[in-house]
Amino acid sequence: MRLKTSVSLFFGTTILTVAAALPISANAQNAMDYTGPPVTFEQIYANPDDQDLNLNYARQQAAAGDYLSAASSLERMLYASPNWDSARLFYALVLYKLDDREAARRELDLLDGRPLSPDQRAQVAAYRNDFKKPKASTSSSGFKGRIAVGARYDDNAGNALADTLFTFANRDDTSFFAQGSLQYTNPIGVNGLKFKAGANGQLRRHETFSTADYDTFGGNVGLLGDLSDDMSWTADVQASQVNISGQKYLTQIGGRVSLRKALSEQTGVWLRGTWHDQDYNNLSFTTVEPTRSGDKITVTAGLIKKFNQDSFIGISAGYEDKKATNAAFAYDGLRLNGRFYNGFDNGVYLNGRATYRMLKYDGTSFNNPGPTRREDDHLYGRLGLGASLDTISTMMGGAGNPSLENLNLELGANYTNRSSNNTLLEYKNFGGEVKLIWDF
Amino acid sequence: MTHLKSIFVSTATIALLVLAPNSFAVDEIGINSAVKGDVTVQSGEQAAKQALVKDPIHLGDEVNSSHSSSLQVLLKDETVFTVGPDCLLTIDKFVYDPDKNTNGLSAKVSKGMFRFMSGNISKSGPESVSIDTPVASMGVRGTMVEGLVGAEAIEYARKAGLIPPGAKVDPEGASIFVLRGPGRRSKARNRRGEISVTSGGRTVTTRRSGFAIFVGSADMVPTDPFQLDADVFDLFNARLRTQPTGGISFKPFELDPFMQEDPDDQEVVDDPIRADVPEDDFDPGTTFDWPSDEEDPTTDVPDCTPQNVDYPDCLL
Repeated sequence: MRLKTSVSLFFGTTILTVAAALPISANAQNAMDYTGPPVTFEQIYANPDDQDLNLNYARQQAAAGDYLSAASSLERMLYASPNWDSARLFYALVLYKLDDREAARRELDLLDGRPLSPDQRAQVAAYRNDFKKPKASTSSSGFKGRIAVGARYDDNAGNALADTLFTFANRDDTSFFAQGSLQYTNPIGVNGLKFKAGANGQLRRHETFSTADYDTFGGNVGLLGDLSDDMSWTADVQASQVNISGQKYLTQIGGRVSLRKALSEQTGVWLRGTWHDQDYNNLSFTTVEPTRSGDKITVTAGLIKKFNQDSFIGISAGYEDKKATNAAFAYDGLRLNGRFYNGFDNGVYLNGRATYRMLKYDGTSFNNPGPTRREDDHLYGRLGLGASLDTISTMMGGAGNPSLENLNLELGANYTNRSSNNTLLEYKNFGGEVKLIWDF
Repeated sequence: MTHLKSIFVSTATIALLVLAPNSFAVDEIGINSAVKGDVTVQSGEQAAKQALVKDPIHLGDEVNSSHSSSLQVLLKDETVFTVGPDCLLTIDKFVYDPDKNTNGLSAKVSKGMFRFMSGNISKSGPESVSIDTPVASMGVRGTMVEGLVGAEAIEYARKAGLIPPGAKVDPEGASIFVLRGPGRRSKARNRRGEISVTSGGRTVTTRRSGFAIFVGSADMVPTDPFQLDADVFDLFNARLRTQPTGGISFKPFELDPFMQEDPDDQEVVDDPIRADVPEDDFDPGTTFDWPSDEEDPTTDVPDCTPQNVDYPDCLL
């Protein structure tokens, strides 16, 4: 009952937030922006050589996001009037929006030396410049977000957040989760400076051991901008909270700064530094948690290599340093990360990520006091295999449904392993999950 | 009697004249919507005649273009075929009822270059639309696709190293199919494009804009999708699209505001270099496995473990 209520509450809140935050979808907004007379396909079919009718149809369809129809209308117009430069510019931008970059570039090149208005010339220059430069721009403008729901099974559910902390019995368990995030980015002025804000949260409920249930909530606000065509920066402040068993466990406030540089269209490097002030609270069944409080700093450098539109790998290496009022909870060490994504031609994708950490603690373990400082190696890995419901429907012989293209079903496998010079701390877990993800 | 015969013949003739266009219209599946140069259309047993804008296209018509000529055919479901130079196209199946799911379109391209832009029929699925060449069959869904059939396809395939040594290719039927969009970065509400090419018992599918599939002969399996070189793109663009003839600009107009976005503001969400990957890497808050991937600071406190059941502060 508690699970149901929480999930309903979360979804209700998330949907309301998204609905309120997304005033109107871009296409719907554009459709309202078209001010010409309505044109039907039947009119075009009856009068394919009516240039004004075709132009209005192209404008109307482009406003509605139907760029395929807009492109075919514009092609007709250019057949009849190849010197219609305004139509060619319109055509180029429609092709750009359809992701036919080669064709768009060609149409823009053809406008070289043609008599355009100053605004049109500036637009041609902006798009042509966009083709030339490898960029490190940090984010798209507007909203983007994700909502996901799913279930996970763990053979040693100590993998779950609470278990690693409170010594719940070694057990398997199934948990259900709902997750959501919303990011907003908007230009605020000159030099490509943008404002960004984001919020995220999740609920996780266990089937048999509800004490391990937890929620996380977070938000960030910051700025991002370009240092040059191929270099950009991001700076933001962050706050987050973790509740366990419905009680506040951790709050942290901090910030991060990152730099990115595109070495080419395919390769980028980045550098990031973070600082957080962490404040731990005792729960009803703990006594020493506040002694974990203290600062945490990380510095990480990474590289991303894109092989094509649907395939990339990313690797990074970093150093982390955690302070705590109790030396048993303070540590520092090296951290290595890797991740990849590969979209197959049939629409199925495979992604994975792994993290390896080598930690040296400032003190001995609480449960094994002695002269030797504690040392741990942590390994976490996840593999995900997914496809949109549209793709799955097609693969199963159905007709597919384009409106389901952004709704993905993903199967995941998790692995966690911790080895330590204190064998009592060693821990291993295999898990599997199924997740329904909506990106918007 | 002669008078009666005359009346009958006249009546029959008038009836035929009245009814013929209607019965002919049953088979009309589209029209010529734009014409450049010498393109002929042959309907049934009739002699081929020059294509003119607004002329109907019927099921089974043979569209034949000469050098430097092209034709845009607009079908009733909003599908658009562009017949490029030296091309021979026949549409041999067209079933379209907007209220039914049993629609289908099938066309044959025997030679030359063509361009296809999906209409309503292809929304049903790749199996609803097929474009056949002498060596392969292509299923299409929600897309812009271009193709080249003939010896030129072999020439480019050789240059790209796509033909194994000793492989026999069909100089008349060898085909290249190029997916042009909508691609992953598309801002359209149109579905992301997809083509499936079948030959030699194998089907190869791609959803990547700018990627092509080559088939050398009916016995050869399709190649894996490959990125098309710029010079081949140029060839397609030159033959299937228009270019200014140098005259004065025709009827200038300013674009609607919604088309005047800065390209930087249309930054691509899906492009890993530009957005998603770094964002995700940078922001533990947006990775949904926050607690378990150990980005979460709360997992930095591992002293109380499931094995450590005796430690009093860890007990419930």
